[in-house]
Amino acid sequence: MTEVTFGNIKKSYGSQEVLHGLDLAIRTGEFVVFVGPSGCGKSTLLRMIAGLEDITSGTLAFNGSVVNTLPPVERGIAMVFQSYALYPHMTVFDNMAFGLRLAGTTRAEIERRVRETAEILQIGEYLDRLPRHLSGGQRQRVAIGRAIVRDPRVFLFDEPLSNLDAALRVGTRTEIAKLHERMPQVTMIYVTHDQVEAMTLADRIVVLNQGRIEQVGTPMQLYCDPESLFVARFIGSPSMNILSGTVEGEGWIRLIGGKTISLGGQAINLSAGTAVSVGVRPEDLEIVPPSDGMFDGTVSLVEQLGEYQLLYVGSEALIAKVDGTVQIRKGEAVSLAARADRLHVFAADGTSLRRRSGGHTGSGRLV
Amino acid sequence: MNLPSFRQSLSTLAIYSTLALAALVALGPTAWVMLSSFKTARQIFSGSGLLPSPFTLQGYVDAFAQVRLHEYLLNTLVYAAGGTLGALTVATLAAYPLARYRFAGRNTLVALISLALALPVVGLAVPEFFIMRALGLFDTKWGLIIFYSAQLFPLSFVILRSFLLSLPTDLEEAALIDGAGYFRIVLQIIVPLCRPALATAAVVAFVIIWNDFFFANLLTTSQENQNAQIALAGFRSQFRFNVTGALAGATLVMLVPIVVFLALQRQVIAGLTAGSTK
Repeated sequence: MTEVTFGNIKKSYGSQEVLHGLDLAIRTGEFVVFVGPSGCGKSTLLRMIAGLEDITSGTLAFNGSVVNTLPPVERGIAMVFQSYALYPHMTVFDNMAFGLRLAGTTRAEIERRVRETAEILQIGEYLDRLPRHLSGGQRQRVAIGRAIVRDPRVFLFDEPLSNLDAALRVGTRTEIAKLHERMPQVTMIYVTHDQVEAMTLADRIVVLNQGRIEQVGTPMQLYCDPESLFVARFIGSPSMNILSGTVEGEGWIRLIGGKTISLGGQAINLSAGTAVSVGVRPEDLEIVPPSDGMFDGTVSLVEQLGEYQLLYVGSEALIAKVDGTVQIRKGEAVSLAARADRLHVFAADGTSLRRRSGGHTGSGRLV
Repeated sequence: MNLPSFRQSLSTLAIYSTLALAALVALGPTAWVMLSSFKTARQIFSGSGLLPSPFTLQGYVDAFAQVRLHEYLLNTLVYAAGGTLGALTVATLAAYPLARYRFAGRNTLVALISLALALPVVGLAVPEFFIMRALGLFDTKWGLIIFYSAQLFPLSFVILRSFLLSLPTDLEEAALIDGAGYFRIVLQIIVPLCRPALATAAVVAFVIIWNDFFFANLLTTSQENQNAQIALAGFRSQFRFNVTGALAGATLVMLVPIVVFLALQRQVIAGLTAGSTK
């Protein structure tokens, strides 16, 4: 039952500020994912919540009480590290029991809790083994088990799946999702650079860039309504196509070296000549007859993935995600179009213009 | 045979020949001492035969019965074990904060301790003599143990600190979250993790102390506190140069560090190569 609140949190190393005043409120039982590229400050922020990094200024509060100077053990947190951080000279049992012993838990209670947790995580038969005799996946389970036995109020994950191979990553990801369901009162904060983990696990995603919060929202809010070019590019795979253009008239945009397209009521209050960026997701593009095309070009590469194929079109390499059964070859000319309500418009400073104009959902027109 | 493979064999031959020669130079005298300790004085002086003929244990009997070498060996063991333990304990307690924490003067402190490695130990002779007398530790076992702990501290410190710098901090942070305090982290996490570095430092310190003659001679006067190196030097007068006794004593004194090294060999090599991969 813990709410985590950041109040203008800053972090500096010497004279270099790496986190620039973050405000955020995480609700009890919420699963929040911090996502962003390397060096954006997401791990630093997590370590500040854990108490492993000092907070330069601002307040970190758990249920309203400031915990800035509280040592890690008194914060009621547990953390799963990217490297697992299992004590190599202790057995699985001792790894899981270490924190409980230090907390003065009775031997019988330790035995009960460790065995119960090991059973849940299916590591019961490895309790007498040393970590080096376990596979990567088993080690990660032990690391999660060590965190669970402490019955934390806030559960922190620092890129816990990065060291696992692709198949194990999917399996462990679903287990973490189940874990969240089993512990609905525990607030979970998860750091990753992998947007698939962020999208599949999060109640809300916090996108960080260069020490600032770019956007906070549910996975679908971020996907459908990115508030900035950065978020638009970061969420979604392959990432959103971004084309440059200028406003021609009310709701019309001329793409550089291309056609004039209608945004169906978006960005109607912009004056002519304003430079903008137009974003369209590869999965929103469809192959259409040349007369209906918003974007025309020659296919320069086809990546066939069975279920779907990725077409790289034109000199700006617009990516379109189309059905895998569509017959198309490299060198063919194609015309692509998307529904106007699936187009995203961004101002020169990278902020979305969609919200400002009310996000009209009419269909696009073509000139 | 084609040319490249011929040249390759030739260079292999050259390498092995050089290595064999180096091994002979390094181990030859040791092997000679060990073999000769089972010979009679007559065979040694006549220079006939590499192997003992006749085979005799008289040298060993003399070493124990007349010089009581076992008492000196025990003293040496006490100094080597005590000095090593002392040096490693102090080095661990110093290396950990100096590897992990940032504070003003840290680098100066590290440089000063490391600088102690470069000082010629003979230069310490006079001050050590007076310090030990002033502290009432002159010619005592504790005096030598404390001296060796201090002498081997800088070397152990440098080995341990460089190993610690190569260790990730995740485990200490995990322990911190688990509720471990400073000394528990050092004792229960750091010391077990540093086993390869500790073993390396221990072997080096043990062998240096075991082989010390200079300071043992300087800081002790009574027979009950002298080490085996001094006893070996005394063989000449004790036996009016009993050569087999001297060689038997030398063999016994050499065996201990060899056994210690072999016992900890795996750990030492791990310690020496730590950080070279990954």
